Order: sequence, then structure tokens, then C-alpha cells
Amino acid sequence: MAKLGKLKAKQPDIAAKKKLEEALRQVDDDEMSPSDSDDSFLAGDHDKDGGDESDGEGSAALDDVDQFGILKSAGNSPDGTDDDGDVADHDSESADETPSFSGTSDIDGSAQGITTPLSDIESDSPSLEENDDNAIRSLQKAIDDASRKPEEQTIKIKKRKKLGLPTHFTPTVDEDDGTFVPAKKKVTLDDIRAHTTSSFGTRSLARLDELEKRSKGKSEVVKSRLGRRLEARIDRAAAYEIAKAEVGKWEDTVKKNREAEHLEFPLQHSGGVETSDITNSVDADAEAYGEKLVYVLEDREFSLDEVLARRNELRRMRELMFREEMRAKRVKKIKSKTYRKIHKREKERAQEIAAQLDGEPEGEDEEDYDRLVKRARERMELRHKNTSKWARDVKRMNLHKDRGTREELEEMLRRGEDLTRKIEGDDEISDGDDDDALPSVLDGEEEAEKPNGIMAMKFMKEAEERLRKQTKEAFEELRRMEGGHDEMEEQVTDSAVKIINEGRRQYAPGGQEAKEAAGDAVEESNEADFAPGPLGRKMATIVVENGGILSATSIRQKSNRTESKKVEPKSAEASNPWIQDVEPGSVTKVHSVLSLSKDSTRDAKAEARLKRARKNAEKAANAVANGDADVKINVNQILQVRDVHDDGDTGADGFADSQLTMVYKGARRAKPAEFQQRELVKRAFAGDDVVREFEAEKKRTIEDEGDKEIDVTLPGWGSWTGKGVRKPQKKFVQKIEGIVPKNRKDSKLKNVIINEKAAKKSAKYTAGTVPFPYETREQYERSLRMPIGKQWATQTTVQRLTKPKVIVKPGAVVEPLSAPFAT
Amino acid sequence: MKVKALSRSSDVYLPARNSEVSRLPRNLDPDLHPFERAREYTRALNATKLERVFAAPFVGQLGNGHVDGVYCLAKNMRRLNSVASGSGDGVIKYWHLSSREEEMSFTAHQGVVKGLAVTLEGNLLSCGMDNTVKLWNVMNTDHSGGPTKTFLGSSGFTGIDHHRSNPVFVTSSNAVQIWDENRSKPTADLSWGADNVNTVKFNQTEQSIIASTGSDRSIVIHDIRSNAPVQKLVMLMRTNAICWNPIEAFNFAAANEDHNVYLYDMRKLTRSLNVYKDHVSAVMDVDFSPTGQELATGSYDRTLRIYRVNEGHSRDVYHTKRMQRIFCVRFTMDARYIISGSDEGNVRLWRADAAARSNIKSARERSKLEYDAALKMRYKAMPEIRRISRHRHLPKPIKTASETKRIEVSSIKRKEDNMRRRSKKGTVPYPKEREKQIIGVAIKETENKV
Repeated sequence: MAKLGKLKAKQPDIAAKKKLEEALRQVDDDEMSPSDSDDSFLAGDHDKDGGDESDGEGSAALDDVDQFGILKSAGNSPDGTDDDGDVADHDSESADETPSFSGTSDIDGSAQGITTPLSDIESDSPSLEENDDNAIRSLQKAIDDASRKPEEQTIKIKKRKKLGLPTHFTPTVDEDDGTFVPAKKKVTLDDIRAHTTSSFGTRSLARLDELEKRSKGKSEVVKSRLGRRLEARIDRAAAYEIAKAEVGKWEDTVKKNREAEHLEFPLQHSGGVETSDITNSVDADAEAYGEKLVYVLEDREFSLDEVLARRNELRRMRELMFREEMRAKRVKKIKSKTYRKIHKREKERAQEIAAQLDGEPEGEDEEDYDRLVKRARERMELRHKNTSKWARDVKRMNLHKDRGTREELEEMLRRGEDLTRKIEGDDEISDGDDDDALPSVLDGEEEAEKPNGIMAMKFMKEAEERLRKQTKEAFEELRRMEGGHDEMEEQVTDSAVKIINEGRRQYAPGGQEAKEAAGDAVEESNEADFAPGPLGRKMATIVVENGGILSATSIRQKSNRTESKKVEPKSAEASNPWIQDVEPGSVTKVHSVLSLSKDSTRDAKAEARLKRARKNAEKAANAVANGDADVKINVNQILQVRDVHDDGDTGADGFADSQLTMVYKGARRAKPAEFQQRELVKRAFAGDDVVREFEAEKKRTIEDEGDKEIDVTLPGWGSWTGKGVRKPQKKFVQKIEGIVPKNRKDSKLKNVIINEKAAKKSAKYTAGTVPFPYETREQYERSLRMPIGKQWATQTTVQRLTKPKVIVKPGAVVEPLSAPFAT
Repeated sequence: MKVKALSRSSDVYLPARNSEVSRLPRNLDPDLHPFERAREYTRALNATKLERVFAAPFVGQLGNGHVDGVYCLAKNMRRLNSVASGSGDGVIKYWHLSSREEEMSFTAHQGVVKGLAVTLEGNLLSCGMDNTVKLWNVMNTDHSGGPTKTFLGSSGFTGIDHHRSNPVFVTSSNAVQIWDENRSKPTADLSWGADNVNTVKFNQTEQSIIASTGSDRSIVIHDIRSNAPVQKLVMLMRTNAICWNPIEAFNFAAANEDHNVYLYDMRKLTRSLNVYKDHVSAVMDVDFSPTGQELATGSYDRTLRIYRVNEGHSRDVYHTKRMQRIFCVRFTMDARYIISGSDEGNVRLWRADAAARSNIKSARERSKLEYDAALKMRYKAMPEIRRISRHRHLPKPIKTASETKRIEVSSIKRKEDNMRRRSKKGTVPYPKEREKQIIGVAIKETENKV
């Protein structure tokens, strides 16, 4: 059935073939009659054919045509009778079947036998999409007719094949006497042409030529009909394709339904009642459908939403009216005269306004003026204070968070202030002040106003002064905090030159301890510093934390402000460790705490240390240059503090002494570009003795999780005092069994700590694996994060979140889908 | 003292009815509602427990059942409350589901009634092993005069199904035959191969497609437009029943003798879309929920199971002490109930959702149930909730059988693994769970796509 298109296309061919048959019949009559006796071995076969042969001549002629086809196909092999093998593949099968074409056999069949090779059928079948039932039926009929083939014949031929005998009538034309002799030689078109003496049939021959050419274009082999089973199989394949395509039309619908958030059944609105009348023709159905649609469209003026909205509106109006009515009732009962008086005025005013709106002529100018004055006063009184209704509303409804509103409000307040000042006759303050919304805390001098009254008294002044100081301090602190310093640091700064680096942040208890230890070290060094250092010596303090922030301030009381300011910009520059430009006189970083002073012994020590460090650095540089350097985080090797003396410019004045120059001692000078990154990394992780810390942590963990003995002896418990009382030997020790270090999972893993404590309590609330639709833990966690209850979300959200995926209308028949699918 | 009442502007609030008590506004300040996750988890847990508490799947049996076993059921696709059942002694009973009472009963066939189908008019077609298909008018309660029409076949019929919109039905016997209601002889024969066809089913969505199962372990797809079988699938074991998905035209479920149900796409039969496991004996019947989201299966192991379409294991299992081998299972057309017919002759009515009740609920109750369902869905992976929601009591024989089966399967797997370990890499492939039951298909992909 899939070959339908093909068959249609072949119609002209079939017509031509009819002609050809006739022509050939003629040829037979003329010249091939003597050969009739030669195909005696096939005569029996012919008899066993369909049995509907009308005349022998015709059938013989047709047989020749068939033969012709076969011979052509045999032409591919060197030997015409060559057996393809015992396997009944379709080639041999088709060869077997050829003689079964009878004279009266279907045109379609013969047409196919001659022109349609098997490969065509198979290759073209999927691409064809016509599915005309009639055509399919006719094709089937044809196939059935064609395949009514006696078994014996096949067997016979097979036998012949085995014996090596020619299986078919293969006549050749003897050139001399023009008669046919049975031979293995093939009959070609030329043979026929040679024997067509008259002009009769030349057209057919020409057509035949054309056909041959065409067939040659595709394949040399012209195959005939296939076996019945094969035919049926191909039919089925084609029908299957069609069925698949038909059913595949549902794919979009299925996909849509599968992906739908919610499915509300019945999906289609056709109820069970409607489908009961199915006996109607398709057209009638379609018409009815159209009618229904029109009817529906006409009937429904409003959508459901519209109707709902309208109903709500009406209800609201009714509600408002009802409220007004109730209010009127309540008001009507009030007997107070004052109330009436006030309300009378109000009413009048309302009437006036109404009249104005109606376009009635205005009242006197005086009244107008009065109203204006009143309005102005009101403005003065209310508008510019935050007591107006608008301002109150703004405050109440938190609208001042909105920037525009806030500005407006501020503007209003400022105006109010101005006005108040004006009213009080105080116009001194310039407009410039107005720009600052908040009064500056620092400009204390400017704020100095002449106090009067109680404020002029001494204690009040003092108190104010104190307050101001406090404020100022607080403000400064705030500013400092903003700059990234914290108070602690500031305190540390005050004591000495300290360079603290904690490295990475640590959350484990070990980290904290390390920090504390560092802090201790600082304190110790402070003490050390202060001890030998002469009092009043200038000292600069530099604190470097996290490799980045540097601040230098002098602790001396008389410290020169300008000097300290000089230092500060540097610190600002150096705030980013990654872009820090290393130059003499900038940052230094040392793991341990260094303190510098002008003390000569100290200097000497420092110099010695410097030398050692330099040596190390050179070594490191060499190593790096050789390419075998390992980036090890050891700050002592990298950075060091160099004293001013080293550079040879001994500062005469005190402060110059304390100026610190920090020299970067890495291999930077040797190959700057190459090592920049290394240095940065080193610097970033400076002060991390990671390995040791890790080991310590592991040790600690092992101890923590191992067996424990707790002395629970209560002091004084069971002990007696007095003479001769023995000291109780027994100690109360509680043993808590932990994990033996040997049995730990990480006992043989050097670089790993495995937590042996299973969190039993949380296991109850933990999913074992990530459940199906989610792919990662994060996804799943995220899906659980937002609660869906009504305590945590608005009603609409709750409804949306809890709406079930499949909703079936209660009591409704849920029919299977039917085409066309439209919800 | 002045009492300040809560008041609200009518701009933002409108009572649903004048008489309605004003709703309590909720404060959504998160500080007032701490521990949201813990609370919702607890609610989910409680909801799960309550679901198990309220689970009562068995509604009741219909009337007094049959004298012989019930081997076929038919539901009217257009009505909710009528069901017909056919038994081994040739009696057909027509049931009214709302009252669970018998509406009529008549002896239709000599020998077992093998199939029932409802025609477009709501009449009943029955077929039996006595070589006849009979048409019964269900409006007429007196059937002493015999059926409205009788169709004679050449051999005993094993199954019957009706076309959804045409007066055409299909029967299975030793052949698959298409009949017109108005003609006495079959209009077409669509057989392909099998000596005996067990069952036949029309696709209700793509209405010209038929699926049949043969005793040669095959499933054949037929198309009545081309009046021919189009594709054949052969599996390792016989398929007992087939059901087309009502909302997915190309998918069908096949209840197999090998304890599993397979979901297939008729366009690609070389691989099943899903395998539904859990039964411990042959699955005798399968039916899709009208919503296409669930499957009900009846098995020879005396249990009825319900599967979600996209999951591989059953979500629920129903059984009673008295229920024997189940031969037929049907969802009702509102997807809320399941009817089963079993060997001991009772027709039983079950809830599709064991804890659900069909009474009218207030909006509050409904929203509560929806909230609970959402919570259960959300926290279903939590171990405790999972354990509680999955727990089912099983009859001892089934429990033991499933244990045995598990051991068997694992032993087979172990042996395969051993073989794999000892042979050259890649020579013993892992069998694909969704393909290993398939022997082959008649029309291969490559054949069409040359």
C-alpha cells in the first residue's frame, strides 16, 4: 500500500506495456510459432497456473515477456542458469514465481513484475505517505492474485536448478534460419528488433527502449513479484508506518499533558451524553460541533471573570451603601448641639463647594480672601509640621522609606523650620546649612551659639562639652570602623610594632587557640619592647593583618600629626594585597612578632637576622631559577623588616628613625614577571603552617573521640578528717568509651580526618539519597526551604502551592481523549 | 473606658457574604512563626500516619456475587454506576454500583463467559466458549426469551471489545475477527500467526488500532483502516491482558505471565517504557485509570495492586482473606473506585485511594487535605515518613513468596555476575531490565528505514 504512489506513477508504463504485449503477441504469431514445442518442459507448469488462461498463444507470448524479464535479471551472472544457492532468498523466489503470471493476470501485477524492482519497493515504502484505503485494498488483491502459485512448480524448478538444467524457457534465435533454438543465450531487445520486419510494433519497441533505459538508470536487475509472505510483510511494514504516523499525531497532546502543572479531569468537555449519538456521519458531527461553538459564543456575553468582577463591584457598592446608612442612623441619634453646630458649618462648606463645582457664581471677594488667609494659616500651622494628615499617613504607613516621599517630607520639615524661624524673627542662619540634613558632629566651633538661660550656667556648659566630646569620639570611632579597622586593632596599635598574621580564617577550635597564642606573643613582645626601650622614645607601630591592611600611628603623645598622615596614604594604597606594589618602605610581613626600636643591640640583632634571611632568600631565588622551587608558605623566608640604618640614611630627627622600610627579599629582582604569582600566593597564605595545624587538629580529634577518663571525685566526699584517718585511695573515675585510634577509619590516611561521630539525631530528618526528580542535594534542599503553610504565606500562595496535580471532578465520567483534542 | 475595635477599610477587604464572620487576619511576621521546617515536617508525619489510620480500601462486595468464579467484567464507558460481570457458569450479572445491588442476572452461555463489552447504546455483548457472541438489551430485565442477537463463530471466543464510536466490535478466538453489529458474519479477519488469541482490546483514543495477545507469547497490533495486523511483538512469556492508556494514544500496558506488567509504546516495541514489578504470580488483568495516571492490576497471587504510571513499584496492595485469584480488574469511570472479580465468585468494590472519602467536604477540610497531600509529597523522602507510608500488611504466603522471589532474583544476578567476572570483558553484557523480556518484533526499525 505504500507503493501506491509508485504504482500511480507507473500508470503510463502499464499502458505502454499493454501495447507491448500486443506487439509481442504479433511477433509470436509471425515468427515464434515453431518454438512452441521447445518449451514443452514448462508446459505442465503453465497448465498448473491460475487455470484461467484463455488462449495458449496469448499466454505463451506473455510468458515470453516474463521470460524476457528473467533473462535480463539473469544477465547479471555469467551463467543464465546459475543457481544463487539453496537459500530461498527473494531473488530465487522471484525467479521461481515468474512463470506463474498468466495471460489474464492483473495488469498491475505484470507491471510490477517488469518495472518495479524489489529494492524500489523497499526503499521507497517509508517515504510514501499516501494511505488511500482503496488503493491499499486493490494492491492487496493484486498481491493475492499474483501469489496464487502452485507449490509443485517451484519444487520442480528447484530440482532442475539442482540438476543444473535450465529452469526456464530460454530461446535463442538462430541467425541463419530465423528460428528459435533453446539455448542459454539471453534474448535481448536487439533480437526482437531484428525480427520485426514490418513497421508494426516499432512504437512499442521504442517505448520499450525507453523503459530499458530508465530501468538501466536504476539497476540492471529487473525483479519480479515477491513471495506471498514477503509481500505481506512489506505490506505490514508500510501499514505499521502509517499507523505509527497516525498515532504519533497525539504526541504533542501527550507531551502537553505530561508537562502540565495541573490536570483537571475530564480534560475534554464532551460529556458522556454527547457521545452517545455517534452514528452520525463525520460531516454531521463537524457541523454539530460548529453549531455548538457558535451557540456557545453567542450565549456567553461575559466571561466568568467578568461576571465575578461585576458581582463583586455590585456587592461592594451595596456594602458601602449599607455602611453609609448605618452611619447616618448613628449620626441622627446624636443630640449634642456643638456637634450639630460644627457639622452645620461643614455641611455649608460642602454645599458651597458643590455649588462651585456646579458652576454657580462665586461669593464675595472678602469671603474668598478670608478663606485664603485661613488656608495660609493652616499651611503655616499644619502643613509644615509633621502633624499634618499627609505626614501622619506617611509615618503610619511607612511610606518614608520611599525616597521621593522622604525627600518631600524632609523638604516640608525644613520649610517648617524656616517658617518658624521667620516667625520668631531669627533669620541669621544661612541657607547653606539647610543642605545638611543632619548637623555635623565634628564642627563644634561652628555650632557655638551663645547659650542663654540655664544653658549659660557653668555645669551645663561642662556637661555639654563632655557630651560633645563623647559624640566626637564616637563619631571618630565610627569613621575608623568604616575604614576597616576595629577597635581591638586600634588598641594593639597603641603598644608597639606588631605584625600579626593569622592567615586564613579558622573555625576549628585549633584556630582559635592559635590566635590566642599569637595574641599572647604580641603581649609578650610588648613587654619586651617596653622594657629596654627608653621612655619617650619614638616608636612607630605597624600592624599588618591578613597581609593587607597597614596602619601606622605614633603612640607618642607629641607625635607629629603630619607625619602620621604621611604614612596613612601608603596604608590606603596597600589595602589590596593582590595589587600591592612592593617597594622599599612599604609593607613587611613576618610570621612572628617583630618589634623595632632604635635600641642598638636590637639593631644589631636585626641586622644579623637580616643577613640570615637574605641568604635564605638568595637560596630560594636560586631554587626557583632552577625550576625546582616548591611554593612553601614560610613567611620568614620571604619578607623581612629592614631598618633604616641599613640603607645608610640615619635620620637625625627622631621620627625619621622610626620610619620603617620594608624590603621585599624574594627573588623578585631576578625574574619579576615569573614570580609575581608565586609571591602573591605565598603572601596570601603567609603565616599558614597548614600541615602542622592539620596534624594538631587530627591529634586533637583522635583524643576527643577516643576513650576518655573523667575524674568525678567529689572533693571531700568520703574523706574524714582527724587523727589516724587514712587518705582514701580510691578515685572515682568515669570511663567513656570512644573510638580506639587504631580502629579509626582515617588511621592509615595521613591527610584525612574522618568524623566518626554519626549524627544520630539528625539522621531522622535526613533523606538517605537525593530523591528522584532532584539531581543535586542543593536542589532538594532548596525545594524544602520555603514553607507552604498558611502561617508563612498568603492565602493565594498557599492555594497555588497546595493545588493537587491531578484533579478529578467528582461524579464526572472521565472519558478517554478523542480527536480533535481541545480542552 | 473606650474599646477600640479592629476596623478595616472596605477598599482592601470585602466580606464574602454580609452575614459572614470576618476572617481572622494572619500575621505573616516570620518571627511569630518560627521553626517552619520542623513544624511542617511534623505535620507531614502526622498526615502520613493519619492516612494509614484512615486507610480502608475495601468498600464492599456487589450483591451476593456469582456462584462460579468471575472471569470477566465490563464497564460502561459513558456511565458511572453500571457494571456487568460474567462468571464461569455462563451467568451474566448486571450491577448497580451506587446501591451495590444486582440489577439483573441471566444465563447467557453454556460454559464460561469469556468476554463482555458494552455497545454504543449501552447494551451488552458477551462471548463464550460456546462459539457464540450474544447481544443483550440491558433495558430489558427479562431475558428468558434469549438475546437480542446472536453471532455465530467457528470456535470458542476468548475475548471481545467494542469500538468507541462505530457499531463495530472485535473478537478473539483462534482468529482476530472484526464484526459489524448489523451483520451476522465477521467483516474481516486480522489474524497473524497465533493458534489461539487470548484477548483483544480496542484503543479508545486512536480508535482504529487494536491490540491482541496470542498464546504464542505475542502481542499483535492491528489496524482496521488497512484491515491488517501491522506489528507483532514476541515476549518470553504469555501476555494475559492489555489496556491502552486513555490519554496517551500510543501507550499500552501488558499484564504478563512473568509477574510483571510492561508499558509499551506501540511505535517502538523493542523496548518497554516501564516495568511494573511486585506481584509474585502471573498478572491476570490490568486496567488504566481513566486519568491515565495509575494502573490497577489483578494477579493470580490473590492481590490487587495499584501502580503509578511513572513508578516501577506498586503504591498500594489490596487483599482480603477470602479473595482468591483475581481474573479481572476495572477502574470505574470517575477514577475513584476499582472493581475486581475473582475466582471465588465475588465482585468487589475498592477505593482507588484507600484513605480518601467521597463525601462532600467543606472548603476548610478540602484545603487541609490538599495541604496535607502537598506536605506528604514534599517530605516523602524522609526516612520515617517513607517507612510509614510504605508499610503494608501482606498475607503470609505472599510475603514468603516475595522473599523467595527476591532471593531467587538475587541468586540469578549473582550467578550472572560471577559469569561476567570470569569471562572476557564485554562478552556477558548486562541485560537491560526493560528489554530482556522481549524476544523480538516482526517489523524492525531498520526494515523500514533503509
